Amino acid sequence: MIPSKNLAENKLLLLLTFVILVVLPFIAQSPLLLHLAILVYLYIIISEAWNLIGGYAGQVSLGNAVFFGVGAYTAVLLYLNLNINLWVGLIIGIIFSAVLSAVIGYICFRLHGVFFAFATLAVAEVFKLLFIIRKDITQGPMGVVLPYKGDSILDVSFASKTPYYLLTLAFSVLAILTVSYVSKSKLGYYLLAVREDEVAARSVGINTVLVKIIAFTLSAILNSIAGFLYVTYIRYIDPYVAFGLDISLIQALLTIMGGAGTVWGPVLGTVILIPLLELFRVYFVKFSGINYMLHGALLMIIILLMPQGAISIVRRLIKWLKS
Amino acid sequence: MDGFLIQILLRGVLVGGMYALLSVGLTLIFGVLEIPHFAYGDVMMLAMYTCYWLQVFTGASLFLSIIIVFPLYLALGFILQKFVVNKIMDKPELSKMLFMVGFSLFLQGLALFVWTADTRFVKSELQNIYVDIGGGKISLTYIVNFVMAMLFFAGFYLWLQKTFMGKAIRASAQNKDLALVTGINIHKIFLVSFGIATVMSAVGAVLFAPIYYVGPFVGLELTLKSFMIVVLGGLGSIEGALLGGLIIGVVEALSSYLLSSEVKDLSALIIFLLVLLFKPKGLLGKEVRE
Repeated sequence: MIPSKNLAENKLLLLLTFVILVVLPFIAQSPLLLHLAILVYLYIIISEAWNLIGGYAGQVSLGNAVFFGVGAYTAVLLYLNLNINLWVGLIIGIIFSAVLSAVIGYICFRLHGVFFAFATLAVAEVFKLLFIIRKDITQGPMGVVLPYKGDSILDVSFASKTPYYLLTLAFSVLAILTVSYVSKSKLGYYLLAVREDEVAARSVGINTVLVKIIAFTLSAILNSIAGFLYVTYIRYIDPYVAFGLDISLIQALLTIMGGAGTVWGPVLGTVILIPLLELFRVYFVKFSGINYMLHGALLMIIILLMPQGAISIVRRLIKWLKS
Repeated sequence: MDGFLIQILLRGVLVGGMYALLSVGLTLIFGVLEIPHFAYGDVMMLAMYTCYWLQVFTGASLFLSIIIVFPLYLALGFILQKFVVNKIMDKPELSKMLFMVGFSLFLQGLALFVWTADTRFVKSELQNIYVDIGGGKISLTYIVNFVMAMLFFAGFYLWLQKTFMGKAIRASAQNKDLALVTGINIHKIFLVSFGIATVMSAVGAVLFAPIYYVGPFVGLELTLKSFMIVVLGGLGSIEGALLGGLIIGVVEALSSYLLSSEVKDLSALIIFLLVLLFKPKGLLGKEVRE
């Protein structure tokens, strides 16, 4: 949508924003601000992940938490039980998630629409129950604590929030770049074709199942990374958080809110919504249901009133400003 | 077969009958309105809380609760169809689903706000009366509630088969355009189908409540269970819901006996996934759906 003659200008603007964001924690030391920023970056990673499968490929997955959970648990359990370095655990988690997503995708992509959504939800429930039942390996519903080891890059353990800030920022940029690259590649066009009309896409020779699996795998890898970052930051994980519907749903909500199937939509959605939701969570801590009601009402309103997401409004605004 | 196994199987069948009534409304909503009603279980959760409140504040018996819940949830079904579901009838399928996911979250929040996260229990007058069967005892609640559930199920089935409205609903489920051509008022069909489906699930939830628990997040479990049952039996098939309910009931009972009670939900999910993969039309499914 952005005119190509402004491309260099836009790139410069983005680079500048990035530099400002990198420098930010060294200027503004407010822990609350950094905490919010870390959350925003984390959620950008998973909403861009959902954007690939739900936005571009049009397959509503309600089971992306599987890969979030696998990413978090793999690193932590290997670290605690076998003393394997967390960073190595991250890589192993990514590999697990990628293989899993290919298997789950191969099976579930025989189904379409609502049936695919429910199948992925069922798969996530299976994982949640497995991790609850196998107490001997996963410590069950009690969850796992990742001990604090002082300042150490090898143990991904820091006293200050700044390193977490930079880590999550780096990976959220990676997520955005991934989606940006996919959207311009052949794969991106294949995915859009599958979303618009799968039968037609197949008839022009697109291997629709393969294309969907690739999108699902990329989505899984990003979720796996987010799970790892989450657990190293919060230093605790349990099956209800890791494999719960909340993680699967919030990525869909943020993406749709911002604009599914666009590079910047999920970023916009996350930047608007996450600080708002966090604020609500803190201020309405006594009225615990309010947060859920807000989530739900927002999702309903967005689908009714602006199914294209907030980015369509921003685009219209930019167009209007330029004319 | 030892007596204990017979008791387990019987318990599975009794619970399965209640599952059938719980989930049969979803097949109607899916078949006629073509809405992936993700908040289906959350409306049931409200019915369970209604029953809980009736017990706490008025001491009403479970059967009096049903008499109160019936008109209440018929009205709620009509209201929901007219003011919530009707807004999304012309949206694409996945938007409909996400909208209903939003509605589900909203109801969860509402329940969390009104009733807090505490787990509540609905009592039944019969739960301490046990009946001797074969090798063990079984609470009378199971038996009486199963019979009630089957009576409602049969009534619903007969209503769909025999009355003009029931026939019109089945006609609309098969082919909406042809139904319109014959002069059926499709909006009325949508309204009545949703109302009846809601009331069936609400009564099912009230009958199921004494042998389960009530909490703000019980709705998701019930939605997933209902979806599993109707897909297992074949979407759009009333008999399928009965078969699916009985299968899930027996599978859960057997796996908790043979393996452990924790594996109960897992085995039902795995059966569901297997059916979805190898027989996506369900066991009694007729038409092809994509």
